[in-house]
Amino acid sequence: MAFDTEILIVDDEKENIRYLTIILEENGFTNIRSAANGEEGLKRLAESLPGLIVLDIRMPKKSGIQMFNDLKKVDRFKNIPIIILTGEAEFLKQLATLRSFHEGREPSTEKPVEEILDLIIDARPEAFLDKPIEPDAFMEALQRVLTK
Amino acid sequence: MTATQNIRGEGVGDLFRPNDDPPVPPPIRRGTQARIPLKAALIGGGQACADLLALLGEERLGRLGLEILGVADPNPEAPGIRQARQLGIFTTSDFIQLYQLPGLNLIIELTGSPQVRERMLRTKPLEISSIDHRGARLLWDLIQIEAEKVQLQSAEIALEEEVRRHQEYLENILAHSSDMIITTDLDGRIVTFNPGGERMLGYSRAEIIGRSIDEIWENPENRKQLLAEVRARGAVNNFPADLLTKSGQLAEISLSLSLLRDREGHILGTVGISKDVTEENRLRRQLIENERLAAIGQTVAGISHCMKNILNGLKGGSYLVNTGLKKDDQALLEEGWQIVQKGVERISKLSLDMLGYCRARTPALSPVDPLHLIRDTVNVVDQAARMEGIEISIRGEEGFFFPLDASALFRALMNLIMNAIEACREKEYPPGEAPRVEVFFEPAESDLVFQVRDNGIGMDEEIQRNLFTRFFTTKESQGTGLGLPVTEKMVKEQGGRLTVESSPGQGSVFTIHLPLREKRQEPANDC
Repeated sequence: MAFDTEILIVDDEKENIRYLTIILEENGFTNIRSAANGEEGLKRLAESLPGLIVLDIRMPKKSGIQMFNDLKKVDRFKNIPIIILTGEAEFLKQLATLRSFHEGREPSTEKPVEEILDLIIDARPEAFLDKPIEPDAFMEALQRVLTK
Repeated sequence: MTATQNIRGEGVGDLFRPNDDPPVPPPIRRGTQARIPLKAALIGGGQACADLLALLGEERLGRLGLEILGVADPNPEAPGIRQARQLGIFTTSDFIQLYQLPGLNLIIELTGSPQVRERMLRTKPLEISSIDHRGARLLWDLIQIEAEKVQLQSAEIALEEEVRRHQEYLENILAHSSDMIITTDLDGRIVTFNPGGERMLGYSRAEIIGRSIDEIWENPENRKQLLAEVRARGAVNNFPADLLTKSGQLAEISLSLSLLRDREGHILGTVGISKDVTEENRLRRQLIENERLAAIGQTVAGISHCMKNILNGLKGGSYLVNTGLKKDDQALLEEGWQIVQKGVERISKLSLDMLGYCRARTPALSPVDPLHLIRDTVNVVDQAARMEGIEISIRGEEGFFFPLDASALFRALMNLIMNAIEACREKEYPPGEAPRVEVFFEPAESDLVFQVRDNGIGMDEEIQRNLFTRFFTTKESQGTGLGLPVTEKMVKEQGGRLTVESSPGQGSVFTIHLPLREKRQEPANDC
């Protein structure tokens, strides 16, 4: 695994960027860049192509989702692996339940969050992580994605 | 017993109308001679004869006991002769021939000619009686009268038949209706009770007819109210009521009740048609309950979402602290510790906001000078805002005191001012425009008006729509999304209202209206 692979973290919370950066540095990664929202993220992409994007998607403002969908549509970017961070696993499940209820369907119990995400985003991310983030889980997901 | 007979076997009609005459006419009273049937022959076959024959052909005139055996007329084509031939009655051109007819005991002379009459009287056998044309005329008139009576009777019978069919039809409607149909008399006693009612309440007709309708109402008072309404308006539709079944359970019904009147318009009682809505109501309550649970679920999910973000911050901070300690990196340690502290602060804010939202608060009023209150609030954030280049100004007259809940108002204003500062932070100001927040107070006619105005980033329609929704925030991870809902709740608890105007890129104005008159508000507790 190339430890100089550029990793781009897109997250509006500075503290979270710091957190992930320290984890990555502790694990030997040296080339870490960040952006605070979807727009800035795209600017970074214009400057250089990262080997991995760590993307926070958040409600209610959809800039993370928008960025994800945009990236997956563009040829140049769609093959960059993306790890999605979300604190919304439970919230997403509730959202799916409410939607089913209002559409008159039986709410599906225990759907995997990936499937719920499908309701909101257009493609599957390579991995996704639930918040709060565990350093081990983060590294494990990262290694899995980068060695595919 | 049919569907519309009561226990005494009386039909619906019987109860509400006097007895009609029976359709069978009484028998004709005759003297001792009456048993002998009259066998007659007619002299003169003119139109009168034809008419008489036609009339006597009527079945019912058979009661007259008058049989025509023969008709005589010199003209073989006379109408009476033709009629007689049609009926198979003996005809002749010479009336003397008539005397031969077996059993003949009466000659009716219809010509009116004196010669014919004189010859008839001279030639007829003694045992045969005769009526001349005058007598025949009397007979004719009497027969007419009889014919009319018979016609009336047939009409009456036809009418009876019609009525009976209609009654049967109505009875079928009552019998087959799935709704409950009950009629009562003026005393409120049940007169009719259809099979729909038997199914709905479990009573049989026999058990319930004659009893007071109040017995099956869970709350007879409600029926009295309803009846008053019905008397005033003639009918009431879809009145919800609870009835008692035989087993003592409640049947929820939707009742349409109207006054029952006779043909002259006199009130006979009431007629009520009831639909069983027990199941319908149960489903509706279930739906409301489901929505309530969904709303609670959403609240819990929202809180969980907030918590997760805060926890992530704490986790991150702790990781930095640990790494800093491990590597003896003071800077990293301090950085981590800052993050942890922020997380702690955010948790306490969330807790306070949640408590503020859930707790039932009755406002504690005291005389407050609104300008002083505003000044105190602004002082808390003034320094920090100024360092960022944001100017906060205050406008209003001081020296007026009003009964206000100072701490609640303080929190509300603080929330609005913080939002205003945040809005200024988020906007990129063009040269020549400086960030400004203005807090304004004015007593209006019946309200106190507080306003917080900013020239910050403003809000689009979608954001405005969601403004007071719990957990909605534009502050990404920093916002709990409870600030405005809490503020609105506090304002409402003081009997006031919170409104907003905004324009994207230009700024926003939040306005609190508090009524001057002391309004008692039911404390709302909806956690």
